[in-house]
Amino acid sequence: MKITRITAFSRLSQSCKVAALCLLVTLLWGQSDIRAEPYLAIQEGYKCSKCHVNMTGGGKRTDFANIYVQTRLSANFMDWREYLPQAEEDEDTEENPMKSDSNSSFFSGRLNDYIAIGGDFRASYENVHTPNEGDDDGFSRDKYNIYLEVDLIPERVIFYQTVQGGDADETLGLLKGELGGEPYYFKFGKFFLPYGLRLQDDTAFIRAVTGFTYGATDEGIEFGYEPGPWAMHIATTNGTGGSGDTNLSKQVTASVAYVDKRFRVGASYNRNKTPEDVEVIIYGINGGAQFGRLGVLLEADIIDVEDPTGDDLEQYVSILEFNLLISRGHNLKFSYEYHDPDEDIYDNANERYSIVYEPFLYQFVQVRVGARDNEGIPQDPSLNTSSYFAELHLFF
Amino acid sequence: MKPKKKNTTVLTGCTLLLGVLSLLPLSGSGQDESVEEIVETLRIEVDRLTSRAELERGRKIYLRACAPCHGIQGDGKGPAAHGFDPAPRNFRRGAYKFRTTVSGALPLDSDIERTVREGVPGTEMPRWKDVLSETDIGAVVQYIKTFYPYFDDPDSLPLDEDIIEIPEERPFEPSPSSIAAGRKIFIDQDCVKCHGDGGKGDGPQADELIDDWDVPIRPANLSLPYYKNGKRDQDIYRVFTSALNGTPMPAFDELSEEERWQLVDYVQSLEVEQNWIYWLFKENPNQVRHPPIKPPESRE
Repeated sequence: MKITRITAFSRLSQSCKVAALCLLVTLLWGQSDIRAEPYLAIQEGYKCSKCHVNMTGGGKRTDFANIYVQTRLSANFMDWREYLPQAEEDEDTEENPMKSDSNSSFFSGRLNDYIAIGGDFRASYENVHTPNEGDDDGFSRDKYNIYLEVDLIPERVIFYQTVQGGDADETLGLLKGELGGEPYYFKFGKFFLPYGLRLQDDTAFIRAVTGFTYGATDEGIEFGYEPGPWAMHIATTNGTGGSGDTNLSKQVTASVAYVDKRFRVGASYNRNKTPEDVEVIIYGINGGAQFGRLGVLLEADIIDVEDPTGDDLEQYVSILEFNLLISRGHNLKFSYEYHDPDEDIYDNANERYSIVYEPFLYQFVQVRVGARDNEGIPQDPSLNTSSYFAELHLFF
Repeated sequence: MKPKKKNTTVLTGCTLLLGVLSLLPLSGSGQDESVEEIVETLRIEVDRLTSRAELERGRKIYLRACAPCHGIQGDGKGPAAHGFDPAPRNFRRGAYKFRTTVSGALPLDSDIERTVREGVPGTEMPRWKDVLSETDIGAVVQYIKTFYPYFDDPDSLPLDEDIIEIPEERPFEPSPSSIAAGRKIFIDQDCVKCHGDGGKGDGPQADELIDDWDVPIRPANLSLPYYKNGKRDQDIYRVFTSALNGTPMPAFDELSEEERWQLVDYVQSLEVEQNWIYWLFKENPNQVRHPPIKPPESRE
């Protein structure tokens, strides 16, 4: 999809390129793959903070999430006590003493009362077909993250660090408390911005085009308040994607969501100004609903680039996703994405269709197999690729 | 439940006990008394070590597996508890719904262990039996009991006569006549006022119910394929007999055993046949389920 994005940009005017490039430089910093699964949040009626230490989603999972993974999410629970060599027969019990007595298969990632670790590893195979150019395929170790959570004061003061290939991606301190019995937090450091649905797929149009991917962290401060069914977050950051700040202009990102057991509606806003005085405003709505096994996700965003030279740009991007939970742990995903890279140009939209089967075979083990089809202007083969892929995801 | 083995500390204590005993001469009445005193002292010490070790084991499990919802303090206010409906149990109140003891009494250890082991369908409480060993379940239950001091008070514990015997064998099989008799009891006992005529939890008083802490509470929807406390005949029988402490659900202990089984048959008959609309649009496969109950043909 990186090819798609660059090629799409090549059709823009020079000032738009500068603005878009600044936007990407501002928002993208390094590459990481801390990923979340918003469809699960909608399926269960959870806020992001229920399962992620970083309350706006992505990254290390909470103790609750590890419980959820082992007791509800996965299709099967693999009990290591069952396949260990049988210990000597115990006269007190006819079964394997290892299973009946001493150990549990429960894994929490918690080293002690204060320190917990987490991780994500994704490896994949992908075959991409480009019209007139043929097929290309390859294996890749996509991402490998280790997370460290230090609960300096449990449930109140948390230090959080992501280590990705030796480089730090997210480093933050969390101060948590309750206001009127409802949770709030302050977040300091370098973190992902609270915008939209945190799809695990960074190549989705709503993530790649807006720039709010898992490679996009920024330095600043964030405040969040989650009273009852509401989740409100506002962050002010340098707007430089983690590099040094050289001006007084700051990036502001905000989101609000109403999270019910069966549905979720929300809105997001982001404003940033580049050193060239190009102002980028992104805003949109998002939400979803769950009807038994069937879940629906929707996000639609507008990207408004205001260039002092008068060469403005407006883009539209959206996704509609359906998730069918065939049985416990077995999800089938269909999605349709739309991207209009310039509203002033007629009939230049890109579309993408995906079908993905993504079972959680066992606790901490997910497999994803799927196919995608891109449709764009016929003159550009890179906008009309089709692909199929398989991915192994280990996480805790 | 499988017998629990003692942990290393306790085993060491036992070994020490046996070692000491083997060194003592066992002749002469005065020496016998001395040995008995030593044995008793060591037994008390071993019991204390056993209890402490089990509590520490239970604490570790609790902090990782239970505290995210039930809270470090056991007050049901863990960091993940926000938004849960029903809210996680507050262990500090000592009110346990699912018991084999009479209304108002504390539960037995085996009652709490059963809930931990099987989970509570329709809620966020998962089934732990696949994940935790029996020893760990037993240890965590001992730790949970420390949140309510009356578990340490022998006068507060259920007496033998407070324990309800749930017959494993039914005296008769379900039949149209037992279902009809059960319906009559359902109406006579005013079950319809809360559970509604069809058992869907939509009775005329359903919206007015509150629990002992003034929190609104809904009566169970008896037409669902799962109940919080299990859907075996014995599970339903247990609820009629023990009541649900802390909720408006009373005990129907004035009913005869035969009447209770008839009521069980009627409640079981209320399950609505689930069609594809239910399968697709209403069922959440992630939800905890007890093993499915295949209703006998006579109930269909």
